[in-house]
Amino acid sequence: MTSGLTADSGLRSLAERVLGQVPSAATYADVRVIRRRHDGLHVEGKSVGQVLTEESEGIGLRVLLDGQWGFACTARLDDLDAVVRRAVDQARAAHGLGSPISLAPAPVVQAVYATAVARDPFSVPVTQKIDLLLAAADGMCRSGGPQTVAEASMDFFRDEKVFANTEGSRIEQSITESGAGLMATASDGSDVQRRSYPQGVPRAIRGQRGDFASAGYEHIEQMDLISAAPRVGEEAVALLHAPACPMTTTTLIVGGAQMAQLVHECVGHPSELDRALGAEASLAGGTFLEVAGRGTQRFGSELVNMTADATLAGGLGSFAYDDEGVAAQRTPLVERGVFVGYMSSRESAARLGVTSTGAARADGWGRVPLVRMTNVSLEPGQTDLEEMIAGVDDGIFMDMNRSLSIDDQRLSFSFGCEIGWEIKKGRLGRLLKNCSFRGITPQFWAKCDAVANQSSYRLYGIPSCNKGEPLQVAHIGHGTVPARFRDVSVGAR
Amino acid sequence: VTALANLPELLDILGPPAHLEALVERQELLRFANSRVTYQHSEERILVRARIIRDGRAAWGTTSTLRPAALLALRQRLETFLDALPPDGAGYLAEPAQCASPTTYFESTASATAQGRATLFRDALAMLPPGAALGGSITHGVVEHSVTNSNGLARSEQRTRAAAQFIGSRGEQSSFGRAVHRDALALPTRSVMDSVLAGLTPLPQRSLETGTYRALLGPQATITLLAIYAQIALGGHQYLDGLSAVSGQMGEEVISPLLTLVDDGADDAGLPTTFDTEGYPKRRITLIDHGRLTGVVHDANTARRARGLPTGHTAPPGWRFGGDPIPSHLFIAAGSANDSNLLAAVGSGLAIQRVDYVRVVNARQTLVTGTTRDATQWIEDGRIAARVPHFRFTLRLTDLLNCVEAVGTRRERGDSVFMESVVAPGIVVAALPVQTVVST
Repeated sequence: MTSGLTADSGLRSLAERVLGQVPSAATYADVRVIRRRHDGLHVEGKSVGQVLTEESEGIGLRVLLDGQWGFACTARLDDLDAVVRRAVDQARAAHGLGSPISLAPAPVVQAVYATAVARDPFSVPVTQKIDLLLAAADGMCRSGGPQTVAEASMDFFRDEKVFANTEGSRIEQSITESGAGLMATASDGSDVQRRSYPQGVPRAIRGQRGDFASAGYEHIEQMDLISAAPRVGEEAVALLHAPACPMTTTTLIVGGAQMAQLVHECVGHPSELDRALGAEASLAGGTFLEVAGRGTQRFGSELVNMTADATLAGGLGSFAYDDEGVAAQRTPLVERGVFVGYMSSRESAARLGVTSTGAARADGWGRVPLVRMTNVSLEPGQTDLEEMIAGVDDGIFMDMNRSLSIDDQRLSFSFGCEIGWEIKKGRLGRLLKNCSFRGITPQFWAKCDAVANQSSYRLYGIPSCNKGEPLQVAHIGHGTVPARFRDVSVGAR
Repeated sequence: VTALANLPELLDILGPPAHLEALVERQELLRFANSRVTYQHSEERILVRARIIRDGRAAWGTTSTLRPAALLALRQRLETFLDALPPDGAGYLAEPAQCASPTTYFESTASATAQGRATLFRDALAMLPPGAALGGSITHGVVEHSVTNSNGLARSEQRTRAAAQFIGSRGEQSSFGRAVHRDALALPTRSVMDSVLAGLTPLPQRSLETGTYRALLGPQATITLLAIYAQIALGGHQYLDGLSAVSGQMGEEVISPLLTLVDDGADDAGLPTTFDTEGYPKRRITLIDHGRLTGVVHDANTARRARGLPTGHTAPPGWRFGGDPIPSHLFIAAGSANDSNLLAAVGSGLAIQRVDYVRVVNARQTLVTGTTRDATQWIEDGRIAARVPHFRFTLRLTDLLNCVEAVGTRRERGDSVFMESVVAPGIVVAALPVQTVVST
C-alpha cells in the first residue's frame, strides 16, 4: 500500500506568507493553498469522446475582522498582498450588518494525511484505461444492439492541500479519488431508456459519471466494468419493451444504489446545520429538522439509524481534517428513528453552543467552507434481502436514480428510477420501466418496516453534490442497504 | 485586455494544430440571510483551456496560469494522452468569422466595491416592512474571454455581470425577486424589491386540493420552465439522435402559436456574448416561431451532421451539464397582455411566482417534476385574493406550452445554471396540475 503525495514546501511557504500578512486586528484567519489535478476519459461506442486533464493551484483566505467574514481567493500567486487586502476590505464593508460571528473552539493541530492508495491512478498508462473503457462500451453495444448508445468514463482527482490558521494549526492533506461508470441509452424512435453501473447520475454530467471512492486505481479494477457491461446494455433495451410502472399505492423496496440518493436528499441535506439556522434559506433552502427537535423529533420508524462519518475507509467524503482544521468524526444523525444531531461547522456549531462535527468543506481554493455532507449512511438493519422480498405479497423493487426533486424544506420528494421489478408473492417478477415514487420525508420513513443487513451494505461515492453561491460541487459518500416501505405512492410519473 | 496578448506565444508552445482559450475572471459577492451578512466572496480566477490535435487525435487540458512553463508541462501531459488514443477525426478548428459587437462590458460593474454592495443591502433592508426579513445576494463580476487557434482565429471580449436576488419573508409568507444585467447601474434593484414587497402583502390562507387549475406563471417561473424545455428539446444533438420531443418535426407546430422562442447572443435585452468556447460566432436562431419548430442550436459536430453551420453553442469540455449544444441566450417574445390582463385571463386560479428544483423525469416526453416556492397565491375574479400552500407538479412541458392562453407584455431578464440569460414574460396556462400539496 502506498500513499498519495503530500504537499510540497512551496505550498506551505505560500500559506505562511499569506497568513503573515493578515492584520493583527483580525480575530481569526485561515488560509488554504490547494493544488488540484483531475484527469477524465470518456468513450462513446467505439470512439474516444473527451480526454481531459485539468490542474489548478490557488489560495483561499478567510478573515474574521470586526465580527464579519471576508473571503478572497486567487490563482495569481505573485500578488499575495492583493488577496489579503480584498479579504480585509470585504470584512470591513460588512461592519454592523449583523451580529458578530463567533467560532466554536477547536484543538490546534499539526498533522499530515494522505489517502491510502494501492495503485496511483495518475501513473496507470492512459492506454490501459482507454482499452478498458472501449471494451466495456463494446460489451454494452454488443448486447444492446444498434440502437444503443454506450458510454463509459473514468475520472481521477487529487487535491494537495495545506491549511493554516492564526490559532496555530498546520495541516497537510493529499486526497486521491478514483471513479468510473457505464451508461447505456437505448431508443426505438418513440421511447428512450437508460441503464447505468455502478451508480447513476441525476443529469448527463460528463466527466463525473459513476461511482467514486477515496482510493487509487484499485477501485476501478474492483468494479469489473467489462463483466457488468453486457447486462447494462441488455437491460437498457429490455426496458424499451417493459410495461410502465403502474400508478398505485404499494409496498416498495428501494435498492442500495437508489437508497444513496434517497439518503442524500432526505437525510443528508436536512441535517446541515446552516440550513436549520436559516443561512441557506434564500438559496438551497431550509430544513424540516428543527433545532429544538434534537432528541425528540421523529424522523422515521425505529428501524432507521443514520450517521455522518468522515472516517470511513475509502469513503468519498472521508478525510482527516475538514477545511477548518477540525478532525474527521462520526456523528449520529438519526437514532432509532429519532433525529438527534446535525452536521456543523465552527461558526454554525457556536450558534448552538456546541463543537463542530468537522463538516466544513470547500470546493477547492476558490470557495469558502460550507457545512457539507461527509459520508452519510443508512446503517444496516437485521433483515436479509431475500427475506425482505419474500415478505412482500404485491409490491415493486426500484433501483438506480434517474431523476429527483425535493422542496426547499426537504419534505415533498419525487424520485425517478432507471429500473424496477414487480414483486408478486414474495418473488421478483417482470421488469418495469418509468418507475417513480414520491412522498413526504418523515411520513415516508415512518413506513419503513425492514432494513437490510450488513451483507447488502455498500459504500457509494457521488461527486456531484451542489450547494452554495457561487456554486460548490462536493464529493460525498453514502453507505446504504436496501430497505422496505409500506403504502408508497408509485407510478410512471 | 491582458490574456489575448499572451495567447500567440502560448499557442506556439502547444504547436500546431491547437486551440487555446483563456478566461480571466473576477467575481465578488455579498450574501445575506435573516437580514444579516452571512459571507462575502472575492475571487480571481484564471482558466486556460488548451486542445492539441495530432493525426486525427485530440486531447483537452486546463491550467490556472498564463505562465509559459505551465503550458509546456500541459502540452507534455497531453502528448502522453494522445499517444494512447486511436485516430477519430477530431481535428477540427474554428475558422475566423465575423462576430456581432453588442456592448458586453460596463465599468460600473467592473469597478463595483464591497462597500457599494453593502450600501445596496442597507438600502434594501430600509425598504422592509416591520417584522420582515431579507435574504439573498448581490454579485458583480467581470471576465475577459479570449480564444485563438492555429487557423488564425483570435478574438477577445470583456463581459461584466451584475445580479441581485432578494427573498423577503414575513411570518409564513415569502417572496422572491431577481435581476441580472451587464451594467450594474441599470440593475433594477428597487423595482425588484418592490415586487418582493408586493408578494409579502398580508393575505388570508386558502386551502388547495390536488387537481388541475388555470394559472398565471410569473416571469421568473416561466424563465425556469422554458429554459429546461429548451435544454432538453432544442439542442442539435438531441434533435438529430431522436432524443428530443420535437425530433423530426421541423416546420411543424410543436407548442402554442402564442409562443415564439429565439436564441440570440447579440441582443442586449439579455446578457450578450458574441462567441462560444471554440470561438464560433453566436448566430441568431429562431427556435420556435409562433409555435412552429424552425431551428435548433449546433456545435461543429452536430452542424456537420445537419449540413449547416455551427451556431456558437459548443459546450465547454468537461462541462457539468453535458457535452452537447444547448441554447445559451433564450428569448421568449412578449405578448399583448399587461399584468392586469394576465390576472383577468386567469379569472380564478393560481399565481405562481417561482418554481424550484424542477428536474427532468423523461426528456423525450418533456416530463418534469418540481415544486412552487415563495409567493404562491390564489386569483379570484382576476385579483390576487389569498395565499395557498406550496405544491408539487409533475407535467409534460409540451402539454403546458400547448395550453398557453395569454402572454405578457412585460418581460424579466434572468438566467439559469446552464444558460447565460433567459428573457421571458409571464404566461397564462389553462391547465396546471397540482399533484401533492406540500405544507401550509
